[in-house]
Amino acid sequence: MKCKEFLRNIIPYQENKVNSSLKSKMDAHISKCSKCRKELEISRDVADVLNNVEKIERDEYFWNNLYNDIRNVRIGYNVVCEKYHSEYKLSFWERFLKPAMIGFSFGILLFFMYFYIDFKSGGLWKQKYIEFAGKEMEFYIDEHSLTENGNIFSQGELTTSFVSFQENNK
Amino acid sequence: MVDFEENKLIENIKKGDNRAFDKLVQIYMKRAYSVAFRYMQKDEDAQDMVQEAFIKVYINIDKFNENYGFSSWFYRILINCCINALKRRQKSGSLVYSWEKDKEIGVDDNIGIQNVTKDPEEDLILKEKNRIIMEGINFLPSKQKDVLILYDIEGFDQREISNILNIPIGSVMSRLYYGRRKLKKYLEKALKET
Repeated sequence: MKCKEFLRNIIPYQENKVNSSLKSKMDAHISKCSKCRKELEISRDVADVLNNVEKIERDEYFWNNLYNDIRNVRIGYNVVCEKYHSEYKLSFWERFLKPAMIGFSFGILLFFMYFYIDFKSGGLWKQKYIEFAGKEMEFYIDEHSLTENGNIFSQGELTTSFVSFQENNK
Repeated sequence: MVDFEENKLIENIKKGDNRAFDKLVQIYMKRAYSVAFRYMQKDEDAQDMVQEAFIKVYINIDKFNENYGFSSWFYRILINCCINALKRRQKSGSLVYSWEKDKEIGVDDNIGIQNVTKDPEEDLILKEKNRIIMEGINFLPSKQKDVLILYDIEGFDQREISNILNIPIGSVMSRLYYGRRKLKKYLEKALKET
């Protein structure tokens, strides 16, 4: 057996985890090779030292605290997740379309209600409407429906006159 | 604990059973803390790492494949947390954890530690010995350090270490051998100096 092979199996040999044929070969090698014997000694020494390193021992109060800390972090994570899912993980319909449609419908309802109340009570907008409609009528009579001699056109003549009026004013 | 029971716990956690998760925490907490403490060398940091690892497990439990052992998966997460935290610590300036620095700023490293020995002098010698050993381990390359902590100090099985670190058993043994050699040299030098 060569040193390289011995060193490759040094850890299982040290822990008696090699088969009997390999063990006898390694035993024979170590009895002759001082270098490998030294390596085995080093490995054993360090393993002994490390196996005797002080174990981490804490009292019950410490473990309870650590357990509660982990539990609290987990509960905190759950709370954050629930909030996230309820606020941000909504569908597009629930998040945007639904509120937009509700808002729009409500706006339209308010708009019509305002004008309904205004017209019923004869308020500002009704007066403006009357004023506007009156002006329209005046304009209509002044500019389109009367001829130069003051006669009112029939429906077909009025249309012809309106078209010619538009063309003359282009 | 039998793997069957553990798998049942994990199945329940996947279904949203928080009590099953708390039970899993109770099973793994002590050893996880011990492993984290070997890496971080500081009580608060070790606790933070354990918390981080458990929360990562809780968040990613759906990704865990039950055909592989939970233990290996969990300790892989924990060790990765510790290694990342150590890298962050290195970047922020303090290359290696120093006990002297803690003594200077008055950190009490005995909080929560049970008195193993009654003789204070013996206790002091034991602590000093541990300090030198852990300093030596911290000076090892990361790959050898992982194996030495898990195998020689924490007593993990070679196969388990191979699963945790995702390396063949042959590599575990060679890292163990070279790590022990380097540590021996360091310890001899440190003992001569002291």
